[in-house]
Amino acid sequence: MILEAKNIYKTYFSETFLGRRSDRVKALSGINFSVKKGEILGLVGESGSGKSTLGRIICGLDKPTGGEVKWSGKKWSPKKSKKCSAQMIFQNPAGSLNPKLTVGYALREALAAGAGLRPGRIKNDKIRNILSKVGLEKINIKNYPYQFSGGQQQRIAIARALALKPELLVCDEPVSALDISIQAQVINLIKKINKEEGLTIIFIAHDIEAVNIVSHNIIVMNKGKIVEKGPAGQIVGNPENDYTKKLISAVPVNPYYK
Amino acid sequence: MEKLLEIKNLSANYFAQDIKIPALRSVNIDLKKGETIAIAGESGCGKSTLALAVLKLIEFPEGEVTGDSVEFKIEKNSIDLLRLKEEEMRKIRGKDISLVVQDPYSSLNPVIRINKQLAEIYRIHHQTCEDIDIDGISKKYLKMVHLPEPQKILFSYPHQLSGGMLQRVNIAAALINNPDILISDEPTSSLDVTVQKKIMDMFFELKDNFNLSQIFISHDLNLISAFADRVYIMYAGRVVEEGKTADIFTSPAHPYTIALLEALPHLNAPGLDLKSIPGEVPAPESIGIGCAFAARCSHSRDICFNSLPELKKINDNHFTRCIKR
Amino acid sequence: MMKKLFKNKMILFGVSFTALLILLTFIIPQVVPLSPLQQDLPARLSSPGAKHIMGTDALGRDVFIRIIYGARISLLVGFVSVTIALLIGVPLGLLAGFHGGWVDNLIMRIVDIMLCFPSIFLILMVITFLEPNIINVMAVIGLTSWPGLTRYVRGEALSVRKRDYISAAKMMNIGRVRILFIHMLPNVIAPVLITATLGIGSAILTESVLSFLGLGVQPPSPSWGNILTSGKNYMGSRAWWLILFPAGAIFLTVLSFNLIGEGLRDHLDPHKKFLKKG
Repeated sequence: MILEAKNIYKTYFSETFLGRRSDRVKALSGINFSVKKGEILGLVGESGSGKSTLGRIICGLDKPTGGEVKWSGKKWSPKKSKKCSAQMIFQNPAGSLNPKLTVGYALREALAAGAGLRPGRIKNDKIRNILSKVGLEKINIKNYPYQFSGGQQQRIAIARALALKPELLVCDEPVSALDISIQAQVINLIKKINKEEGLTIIFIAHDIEAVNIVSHNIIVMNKGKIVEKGPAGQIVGNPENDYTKKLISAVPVNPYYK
Repeated sequence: MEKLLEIKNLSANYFAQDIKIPALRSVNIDLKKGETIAIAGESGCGKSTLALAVLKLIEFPEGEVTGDSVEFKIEKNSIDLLRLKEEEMRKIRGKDISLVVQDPYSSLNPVIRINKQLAEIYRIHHQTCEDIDIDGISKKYLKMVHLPEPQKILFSYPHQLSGGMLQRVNIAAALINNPDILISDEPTSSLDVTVQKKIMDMFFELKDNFNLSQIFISHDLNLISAFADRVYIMYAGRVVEEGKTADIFTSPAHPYTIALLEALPHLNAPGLDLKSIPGEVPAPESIGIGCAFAARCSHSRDICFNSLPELKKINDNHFTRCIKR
Repeated sequence: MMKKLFKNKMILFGVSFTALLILLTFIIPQVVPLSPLQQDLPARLSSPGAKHIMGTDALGRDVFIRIIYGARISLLVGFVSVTIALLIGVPLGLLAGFHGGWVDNLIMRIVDIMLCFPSIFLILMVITFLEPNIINVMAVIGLTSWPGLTRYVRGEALSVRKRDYISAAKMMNIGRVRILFIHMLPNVIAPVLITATLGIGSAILTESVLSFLGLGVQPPSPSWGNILTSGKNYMGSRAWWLILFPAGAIFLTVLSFNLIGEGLRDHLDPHKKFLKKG
């Protein structure tokens, strides 16, 4: 087990003027699951299911209200180990790259953070090397993010995450902002990284078709709870939970597909 | 069947910082009475621009609409929307042709109750002094789109309703004047799948029970495959293929359509590698005279880059713009 | 980039006028041997003419030369006080926006208190305790005009803080100072510079008001406010040039900076840029 999430709760409070807490919203209630090394775990659910909150907690961007995340049996806290073992890919590729930094600079910074060096010590070959992993070896690294298309930006974001040598990559809706023809490029890239680098991946999406294509195992979430988990084929082919069944039957089906 | 709407060589350009961005290039589309056509394509293909151009909602200095004609048959008369004055056009928008857009939140005014907003849309096109029960009419349409407790919803503000409910209100607003044509631009794309399913069920009902002619704009080919009678596939501002839904999905002719269908994930094909289309959609201002897809196409030859392929007939309804055919 | 900027007529006018003014403050003292204090007593209160193009004042000093020397002071006050305000306001705003919590509360409450007083009142209060001279005027204007900037930067920083690239930087374990100045600052600075440009105009105006009241740069040093003060006794008489020219100089300079600011705002407004639809 590379990662174990134990009884995770997350409640949001809205704070009043004097700092008193009121209005609780339960985003997650009692989430338990584990991820095996080298697997792709799909997290599927609709808006409000808490799937993105869970992703942010795993990456250390949010603190859980209760429960803990253990990495290979050890608890992780930002104070003890400096770099989080998980990196995240976000939905909006344009928003995940700093518009004022060149792609080369962003990658140099990430490579330096991954190796514990100063950014100046990172050579350009290393940047090229990491870009070749996402199929972008030919781009001009002096360009700014807006000069690339959405699909390229998303691949640059993946390269930046890989530069930090994470144990786990959390992809939060990585393809839902992309067009169909580009979606396939990114989905295939994620599968390739898993296969070639052996990287463990959590793939979060609202779209069960995409999750099904990518994942070995699937967790279905609804209203902050896990309603069903199991191997992808079983969840999609033979769902047990009513919500899962509803989710799958809602997917538009192409009657002409062979 | 009689043609209700006939779009001939319609083009639209946007103006941005001294350059002209051609978003729609000489598009020919027709819609028969009672028919549902789908316009499919990726972002930037011009499908939303098409909806705006037909309704002449693109104006200077934002952009311009040009072309031969947009013939609209209304009570045996035929009028050309393209040559219509703005006041005349205003009488058609929301009455004879109505539009439902993607974002349900931004298409309703957040500070006015639903009943007032529906009443306004009704009143604009029914100028009578008689006392009419507008709320009663609104309620009838809210029931038609399967909203529970129409009375309560009528007196709600938009923020009190969920996205799915708001989109139903928008559809009710589009239907309240009994339009001949309903144009829906990605009406379910911002909603959850389970909500999408319910809204689509309602669209099917409208199609079967009300003999409404519909233009359904979407990027979701799976959604379209079950819903539309005919499909137009658009790429970079042009229609590259058109035909009966069955023909498009079983024997696609244009390399772009074929590639798009192969790139779609399907539930019953897990773990399969998807075929991706190499490269990127070209920026509209940088497209040359030839086929816009040529740079990404595995069948392209020199001629593809140098001249625009003619529209070729495959059968009576099935056409494609590719030299391969 | 520059070419596009100068296509905007407001920016073109503002920059040309300011550049001309700065150029004159360097060239005129080299070319014309007159000093701003030099009296030409026989030609007292002479109207604009070939010898004195903007006329002379009651002591026979050349108004044009005084305005040019005054421009040095006005521009200096404008730039220095805005720089002081930027140096204080921007880091505080960034910190408040990024850190949130009690840091944000503390900084913003100080800002609220500062903004409660009309700044001219605050400036008058401080200047009455200090010796009125150019250094103090610049310091006081700078020290009282940062709260607006802080509030503005904080607002921008709050929206930038939630962007995914900041989350990504946090996951890389990049230090807080680096996140603030490398990742956040460049993304908030453009609109801040617009506000700062508008601030230069208002600082020049404030300095003129202070000098006019006798609390700014002290006579006989020629500042635009001083020139106006010395002319005020002749208001309504035929010596219109003693009021019109210095007032015109203040007006045009403040207008120039405001136009540059407005022009930049139009130029950077994302809504006016690309319009693309599906």
